[in-house]
Amino acid sequence: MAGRKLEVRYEPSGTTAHVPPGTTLFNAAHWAGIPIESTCGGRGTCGKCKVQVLEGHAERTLADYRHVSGGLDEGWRLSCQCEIDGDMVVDVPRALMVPKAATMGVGRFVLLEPNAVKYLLTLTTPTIVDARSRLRRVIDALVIEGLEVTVAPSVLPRLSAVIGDDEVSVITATVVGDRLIDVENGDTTERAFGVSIDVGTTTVVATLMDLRSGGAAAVESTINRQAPFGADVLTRVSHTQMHGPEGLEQLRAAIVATIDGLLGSVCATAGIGRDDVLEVVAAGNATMLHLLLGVDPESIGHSPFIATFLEPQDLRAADVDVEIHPEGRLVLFPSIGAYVGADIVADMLATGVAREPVTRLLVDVGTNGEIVIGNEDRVVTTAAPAGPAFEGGQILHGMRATEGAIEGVVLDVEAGEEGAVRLQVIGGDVEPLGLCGSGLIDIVAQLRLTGLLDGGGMLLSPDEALAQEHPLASRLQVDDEGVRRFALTDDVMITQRDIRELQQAKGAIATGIEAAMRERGLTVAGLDEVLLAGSFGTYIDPLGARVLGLVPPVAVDRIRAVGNTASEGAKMALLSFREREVAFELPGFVEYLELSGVEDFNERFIANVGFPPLELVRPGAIAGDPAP
Amino acid sequence: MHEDLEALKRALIVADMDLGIAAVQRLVDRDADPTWILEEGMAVAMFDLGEMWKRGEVFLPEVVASAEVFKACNAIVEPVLLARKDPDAPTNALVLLATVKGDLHDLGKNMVGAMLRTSGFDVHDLGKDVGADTIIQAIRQMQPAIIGLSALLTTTVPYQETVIKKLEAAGLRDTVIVMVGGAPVTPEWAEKIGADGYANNAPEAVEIARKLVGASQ
Ligand code: B12
Ligand code: FES
Repeated sequence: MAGRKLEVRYEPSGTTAHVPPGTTLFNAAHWAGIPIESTCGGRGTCGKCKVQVLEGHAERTLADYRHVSGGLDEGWRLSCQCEIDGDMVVDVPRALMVPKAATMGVGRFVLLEPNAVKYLLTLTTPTIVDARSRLRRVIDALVIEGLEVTVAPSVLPRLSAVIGDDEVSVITATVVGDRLIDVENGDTTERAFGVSIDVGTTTVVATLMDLRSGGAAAVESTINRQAPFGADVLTRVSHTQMHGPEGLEQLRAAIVATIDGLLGSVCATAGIGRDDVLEVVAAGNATMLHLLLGVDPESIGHSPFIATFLEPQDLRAADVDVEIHPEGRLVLFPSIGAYVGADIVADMLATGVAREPVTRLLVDVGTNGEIVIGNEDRVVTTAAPAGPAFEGGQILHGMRATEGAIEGVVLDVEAGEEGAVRLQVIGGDVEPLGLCGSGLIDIVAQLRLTGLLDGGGMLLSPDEALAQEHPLASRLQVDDEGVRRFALTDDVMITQRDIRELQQAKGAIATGIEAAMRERGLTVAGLDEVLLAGSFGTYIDPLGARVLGLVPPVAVDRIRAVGNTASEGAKMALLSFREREVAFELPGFVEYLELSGVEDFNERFIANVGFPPLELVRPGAIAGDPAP
Repeated sequence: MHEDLEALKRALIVADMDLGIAAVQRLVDRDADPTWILEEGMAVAMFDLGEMWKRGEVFLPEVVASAEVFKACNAIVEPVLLARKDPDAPTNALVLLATVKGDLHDLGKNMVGAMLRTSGFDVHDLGKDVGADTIIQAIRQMQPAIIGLSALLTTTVPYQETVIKKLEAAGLRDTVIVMVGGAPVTPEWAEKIGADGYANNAPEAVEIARKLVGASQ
């Protein structure tokens, strides 16, 4: 039987995979292109990768007993632990589809001065007196436009086809930076495009920009295909650590494929060819950029966190398998440190934090929470390791922000039992499947505001709630292990342990903010604005963030969700080389604070896992709050 | 005296320093058996606290505060205990703790240390970012019953295996019980690298340590 492949069919899509015995259901699905939820990267610890085995044999593992106890008899298994030893049919729960990501128009006024420009040139008829070479004619014509160019070798063979020897030639010359990369017949100046990419650990967003109009021609986002290797940056680093060059190549290929898929679809949407894309500007965390260039990020993964490069890069896209115009460029934003990446530099460019007198705190809330604080005089940044709670990891009914996720919660104690729990679910009228990060923040803030959760983070017991005649008392329960929980629906709960996870995550960010403010010599009173950035930041309720103490106590209308500013910054750099220069100089201006070196971090962190007193943060508590 | 013992237990759980010290002082003044105070009172309270931790009913600030109260109360009982102690009675088992090289997370390890201390172990903390050589040297010097290795990063977890291999190479593996822990560590990993014990949290670490030490005697 050696060499026999086993067949697995994945429902509901019906996709089949043929794999050698011993392959896990999780890996087989990944190879077949079927996304399965996971935050641990198949290590059997997150419990997110459950599938239901409909036909075939599936051994029960220890990890199954830990994570699926309830559904074992119905065939539920952790797909990452389940080794295939016969043909099977399994059902994959609807989950990780296309993620929601915030993409907004250019928030700032950017003068169009793209680095990639097409010039329409009219070249006079050659004569015996004017016998300049074809190349010289083009170079001279560009000099008149004010350009001194070098020439890509691939241009030479094209010149004779484009420039005649006995007529006036109208040609389009494509110049990127100061390099002539192409010549074309006639006028193609309306086809000059660039793509900005935000290379997130979880989600990758690509925007196709029309370099002539400055408008977005198409936007697309997708899950980073590295996701099956683990949810956070360190699980990816660990993959290269454990699997060496092969592991590195897997990750490189995965991110290149992700970007290629996005490029393909934005070009298709706009009806243009890959050759019309002249430049790609990418921002992302340092690890993602290392992987994109095939550079091993190993030393980012442990103290003292040494990156191989933080500097901006400008290379031929084709050299790293990014398929655009064959001579098109790939430009990478610089990073500030191993954990304050190029995406944050892009955030700073887009929001003007380092360029205006207004004092701002910018927080990119995620697994790694990046914090930027200051104004044109001085800026301090740091990275706070929040952990996966905001992405639904380590949360019993946590999930990513995809269809079926509860993204907003209001507890209305006036409304009587029926209407008391109001849920906003992604996808509208679908059954709620779990909680995503913004829903998690909402529910915990609402539990605080309705008096069901104390300042230390402890839920009322059902008895206590009944004794108080709390209108939501019937929603409080205790599970078999004696763990308290609140039922959002019959199936979706938030448990006391979930709340503890959230407290750790928000405690880490709050402590990072506190330390950065102290380093910058600022108090809450000195803060003009709090900006919540990142695709997740867009969905956070400012009041909820304040009630939890995730952000300092400022008036609600001073807390603003600014969306995916990393994408915005990358777009700005695409549309203006001057903006690009500004961005490239930011790392030299910004100060980096290493939280590991903050002396009283532990004490402050422990204090900050608690919630601020309600009277300081509830609606109306702060001058400038909207009237309740 | 029972009311005082109950008051002491309550004080430890809610981390009321004044109440705790007052209660333990009253017990000592009235000549209560220090072993009884420790075992029926303080140890029971810390066990309950551990159970509450597992259910999420107390969290970092509460446990840290309770450990402080424990320390203060223990400082009152211990001299009495020592004065009465049978010189031949077995001493507490010694546990060495370290966060492995490359890793600077020590909150969890400290919590494990605090709980072990409040449960009758002697604990020596080697700190964080600790390499195998330092660990080996410390084992040679102090001859602990247990070495506990903490790792919080996916990238530093493999170092637990490195330490075990180096212990083997140094011929020390059989002289010491190895326990591993930290959020990304799993029981399967612990087994794979040949650790003797794994615990998911501090109270469990105490249970496992007790079991392992008991078994090795
Ligand atoms: C606090 C914290 C920090 C603090 C650490 C302060 C300190 N002195 O400990 C600081 C700011 C320094 C820090 C830095 C970093 N951190 Co950090 N950090 C955390 C955080 C928020 C909490 C960890 C914690 O202390 N939990 C509380 C304790 C009580 O729990 P615990 O450690 O799990 O311990 C319990 C059990 O595991 C067990 N246990 C622990 N040790 C042992 C040992 C034995 C023998 C046994 C039996 C049991 C046991 O018992 C304990 C008590 O019940 C987590 C995120 C989170 N939400 O968990 C990230 C987290 C661990 N950090 C992470 C990262 C990435 C980093 C950095 C690399 C990045 C950065 N942005 O700077 C640096 C690396 C520094 C380094 N080289 O170690 C990641 C790790 C991801 C991964 N896949 O590995 C996490 C998960 C957050 C994230 N971004 O995803 N961090
Ligand atoms: S438990 Fe299977 S992927 Fe995390």
